[in-house]
Amino acid sequence: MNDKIFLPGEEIIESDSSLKINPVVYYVDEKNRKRFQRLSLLRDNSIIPLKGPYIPRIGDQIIGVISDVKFAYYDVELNVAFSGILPARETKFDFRVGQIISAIVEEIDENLEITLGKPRALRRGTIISIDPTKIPRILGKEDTMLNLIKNKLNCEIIVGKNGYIWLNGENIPHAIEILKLIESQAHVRGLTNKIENMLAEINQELKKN
Amino acid sequence: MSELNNTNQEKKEILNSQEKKLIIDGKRLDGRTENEMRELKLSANVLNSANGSSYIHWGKNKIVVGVYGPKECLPKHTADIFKSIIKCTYRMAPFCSAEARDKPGPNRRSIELSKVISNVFEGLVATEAFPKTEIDVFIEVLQSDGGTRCASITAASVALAHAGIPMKDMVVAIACGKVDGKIVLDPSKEEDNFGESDIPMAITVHSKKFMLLQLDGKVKREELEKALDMALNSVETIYKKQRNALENVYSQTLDEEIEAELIMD
Repeated sequence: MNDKIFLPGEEIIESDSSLKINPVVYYVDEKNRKRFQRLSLLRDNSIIPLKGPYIPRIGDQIIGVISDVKFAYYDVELNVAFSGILPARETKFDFRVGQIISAIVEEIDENLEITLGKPRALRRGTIISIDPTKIPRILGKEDTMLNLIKNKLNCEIIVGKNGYIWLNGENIPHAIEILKLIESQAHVRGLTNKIENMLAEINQELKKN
Repeated sequence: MSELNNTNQEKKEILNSQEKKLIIDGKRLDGRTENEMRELKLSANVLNSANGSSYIHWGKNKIVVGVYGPKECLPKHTADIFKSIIKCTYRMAPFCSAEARDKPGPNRRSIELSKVISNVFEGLVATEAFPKTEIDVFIEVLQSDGGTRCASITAASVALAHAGIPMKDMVVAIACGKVDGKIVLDPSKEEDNFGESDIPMAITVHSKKFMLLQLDGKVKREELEKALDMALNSVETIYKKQRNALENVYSQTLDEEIEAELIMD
C-alpha cells in the first residue's frame, strides 16, 4: 500500500519521473518549488485531488438545468458559483425553466463565466449531484464502471463533468444508491469488485420479484 | 455542570487567597507546566450538508466549523472582480460561557473575531482562482474557555482543506500569556482574565509566516521574543493533530477494504 494523503503547503518531491500529477493539486511558490494546494491522494504513481469545486475546461460535457429565459439566451444552473449562458441561436427548441439539458463548454472567460453549445434536451428522468472530483471514478477506465451499471440495471445514465448525473429508465433508486456509494468510497481499492457483487445481488432480488 | 462549578470554585479560591498566585511551585491552575498545551482533539467531516467541516475540542473549548462555497457573492456590491471574498462568521452560542448575555445578535467581540479570522484566511486561500465569489466559513462556539480565536483558526484551516479549497499552506494558531511575570503557553480562561498579557498568534505550518499577532496587555521585548519562540515550537504538535483529523476521514474506509481484500485472497 503506497497510498498517502497530502495537505496544502506540503512540497512535492518528484523522485520518480513517472509520477503523474493532476495540475489542479499544486502551485509554484516564490522559490520555484511545487507545493500542494489541495487535499490530495497519491496512488499507483498518480496524484489526484480528493475533493473540491468543479473547474471548467473547454470541451467538457456538462448537465445543467435552465434557470432563466432571457431575450437571446438562457441561464443554465451548473453546480458552480455562476450560471452558464446558452445562446438561443444554438437551438431551435424553446426551453422552459426547469428543463434539464446536456451541453458542451464552448468558452470560458476570465471571470470563469461559461458559454455553452450543442445543447440536447433531456426529457423525463432525474438528476443527482455528486462531488465533481469523483466523476473519473464513476466513469472508470474507458467508462467500464458506468457501462457496468447501465447494462446491469437497464437504465440510461449521462454523466456531466460538473457533478450532475442524469438518470432515466428502470431501477433508478438502485442506480442512485450505487452512484452515492462510489462517491463516498471513491478512494477505496477494489471498488469495482464490490460494485459488481452489489449489482449481482440487486439483479437476483429483481428476478425474484 | 461539574466543570462550571469547578471553575467558579477556582475563581473564588484565587480571589480569596491573599497571594493571588496563578503559578504555584512551577505548576499552573490545571496542573500544567509553563510550556505545556491543553489537550487537543480535532476531527473533520462532521457535517453532512457543508462542503467541508471540522470539530475541535481544545481544553474546554468546543467549536464546530462549516465551510460553504465558492458561491455567488451576495450582496453583489461586496464582490471583488479579481478574487474571492472570505466571509468568516464567528458566533458564540448563548450557553457557551458562564457569563450571561445582555442581548442577542453579534456583539463587539464576535464582530472583531470574524474580521480577524477572515484576514488570516484571505492571505492563505488562493482567492484569485475564483473571481467574484465568496467562501463562507461559519464558526459556532459551543463552549468557550479562553483561546477560542486560536481554536477557531486551527479548526477552520482543517475545514477549508477538507472542502478542497486551494490554499497556499495550512495554518495553526496558539496563544501565549504572561502570568505572574512568566510567559506561559496556551493560557486558559482564568489565566487570561487574571494574568497580565495575552498574545494570540497564527502561524503557517511550512513557511512559518505569522498571519496573526495580537497583543493584549504589556510585555517586554525579550518576553515577546520568548512567546514567539514558544508558539513556533508548538506548531508541529498542532499540525500533527490537523493531519490526523484529515487522514481519519479517508482511512476508516481504507482499513475496511484492506480486511476485505485479505478475506478475498
